[in-house]
Amino acid sequence: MLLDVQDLRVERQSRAAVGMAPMPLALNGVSFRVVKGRILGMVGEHGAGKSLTASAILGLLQPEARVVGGRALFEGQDLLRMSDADLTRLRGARIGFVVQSGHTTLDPNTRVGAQLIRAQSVHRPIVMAEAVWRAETIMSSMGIVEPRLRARAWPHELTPSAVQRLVLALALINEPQLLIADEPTAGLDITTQVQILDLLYLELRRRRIGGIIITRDLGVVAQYCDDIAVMYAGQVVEQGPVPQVFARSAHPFTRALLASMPERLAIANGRTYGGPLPDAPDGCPYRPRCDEATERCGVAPPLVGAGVHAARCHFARIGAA
Amino acid sequence: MIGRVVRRLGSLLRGLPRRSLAASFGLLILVGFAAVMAARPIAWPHGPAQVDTAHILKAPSLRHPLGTDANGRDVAARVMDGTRYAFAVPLAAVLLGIVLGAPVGLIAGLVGGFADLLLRRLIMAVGFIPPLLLALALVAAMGPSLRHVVIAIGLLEAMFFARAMRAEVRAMHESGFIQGAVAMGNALPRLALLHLLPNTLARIAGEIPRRVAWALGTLAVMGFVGVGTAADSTEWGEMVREGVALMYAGPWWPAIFPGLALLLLGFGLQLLAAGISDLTGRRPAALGGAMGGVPH
Repeated sequence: MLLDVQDLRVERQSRAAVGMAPMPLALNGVSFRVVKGRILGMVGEHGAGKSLTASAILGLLQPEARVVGGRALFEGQDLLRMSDADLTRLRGARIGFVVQSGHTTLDPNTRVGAQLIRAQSVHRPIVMAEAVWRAETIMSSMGIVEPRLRARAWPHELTPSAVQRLVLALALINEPQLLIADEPTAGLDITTQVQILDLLYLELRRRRIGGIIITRDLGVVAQYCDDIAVMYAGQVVEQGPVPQVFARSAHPFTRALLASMPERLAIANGRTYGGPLPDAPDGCPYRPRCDEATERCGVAPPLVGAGVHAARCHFARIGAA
Repeated sequence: MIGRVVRRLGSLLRGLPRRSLAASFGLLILVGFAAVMAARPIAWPHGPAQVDTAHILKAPSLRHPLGTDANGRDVAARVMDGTRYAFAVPLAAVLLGIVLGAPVGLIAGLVGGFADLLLRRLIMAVGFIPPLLLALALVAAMGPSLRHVVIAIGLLEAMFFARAMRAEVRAMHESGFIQGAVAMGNALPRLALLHLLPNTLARIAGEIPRRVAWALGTLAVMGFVGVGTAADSTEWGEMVREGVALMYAGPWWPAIFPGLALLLLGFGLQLLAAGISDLTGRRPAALGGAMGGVPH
């Protein structure tokens, strides 16, 4: 087990909320696992808490949010209870993180080769010749031709595709055991997206790195991920191996997501995920939008299912057709 | 290495008029002043302290194109000589301001919390005092000398740079590459030195000519009211002060020409600043909040 997140709870504080009813938890018991060498796809609507989960695990929450419970075991150590200094040592070294809109993560005033060398010196003293060699090697494995020449380029001189390749190279250069990529292809055109994802997939497989790919595109999950975690309103509502979840999804929200998969078609048919996002109802958070909701849904549903495939729904029938 | 830098600089300058006429003109004016300053001792027939007793308070003529002052000294030579002050003092003051102010702003912006609040309130409080008066008061308190003028103007510049730096750090903190650097496991000191400092300084660089212009004006005002440079120096403000006394009697040239030089150099600096804003696509207004109480 590479990463085992259990019952992660995150609260957002806001000044306006002082003296008022407490705000609902932004993350309300998120649990999932990443196995070494496997890739987990994390999907959900905007605001479901995908990026927040990643930030919470890595200790990068904005000041207004804080972890109020749960555990995140990375190779047995709880990341949530680790000191800042220890976490800093892990980030970029054993856990690579590609932040959302990663194309802005290159320093505009430093040549890209220097950035790759700098990234290595963050965590350990380096031998220059070796660092240069590593930088060039990873650039060519990321499909950048003539790495020696390109290393002298400034970020603004590169195409979006090359920038994204470099961002991945930066995250991978210190050979992490776990890579978290938050929407790694957002803003790129379709063909580039495919190239970047292919590269990412190959590198993760080749180095046997555990991966988390945060995305809103189920197609990405279907093609590149081994496991899937579906997030809804700050919870993982269903998780399991991709083939099983896609073939026999146990949660109505997962089914709605899958049904709307060619998204534009779904909107044209007026079949979206079903109404606006709810105001934290009691019981199942998906209830107000669920076609299959009954009175029982007023009670918070348990996690149904054992082993690898589980869903948070009273009516989940794991394994059934 | 040096050859490459020179070539790069050369190509940069050749392309400049096309990209920003304002910056080119501004630079031209500055280079012009520097060239005149450097060439004066060899190329000009009169020295700034050379007294010509036969020509006292003579109007501009071929012999003395800008006339002579009450002691029979060549006004042109004195104006050219005064360029030394006009370059050295404001540049030193702005440099001092950056060295003192930038780290303070950087740390306040990075650490936030109480240190940040304290800095903001302090600068706000000091900002209520007109900066010119403050500079004069500082020099008066320290005793008039050129070094104290540099320190007084430098302290005011430091306030500006601390504030601008803080604003830039705050804004940059949200930007992708700083978050990326954090995600890479950069600890705070490394983040500040390697990522924030160079990038924020690069963004503030465009304000430097404008700050130099402000320092130049302040220096001249100090000379005009008689603190700072020693009496009878060739500092332009000082020259204007001496000349104004004579103006009512008729001879206008000892006051007007150093004043014009001041105006022209200040204009050049402002042009350069405007040009840099054009080139970097950053309007001065973007720093408006940062400029706050310290006028420019």
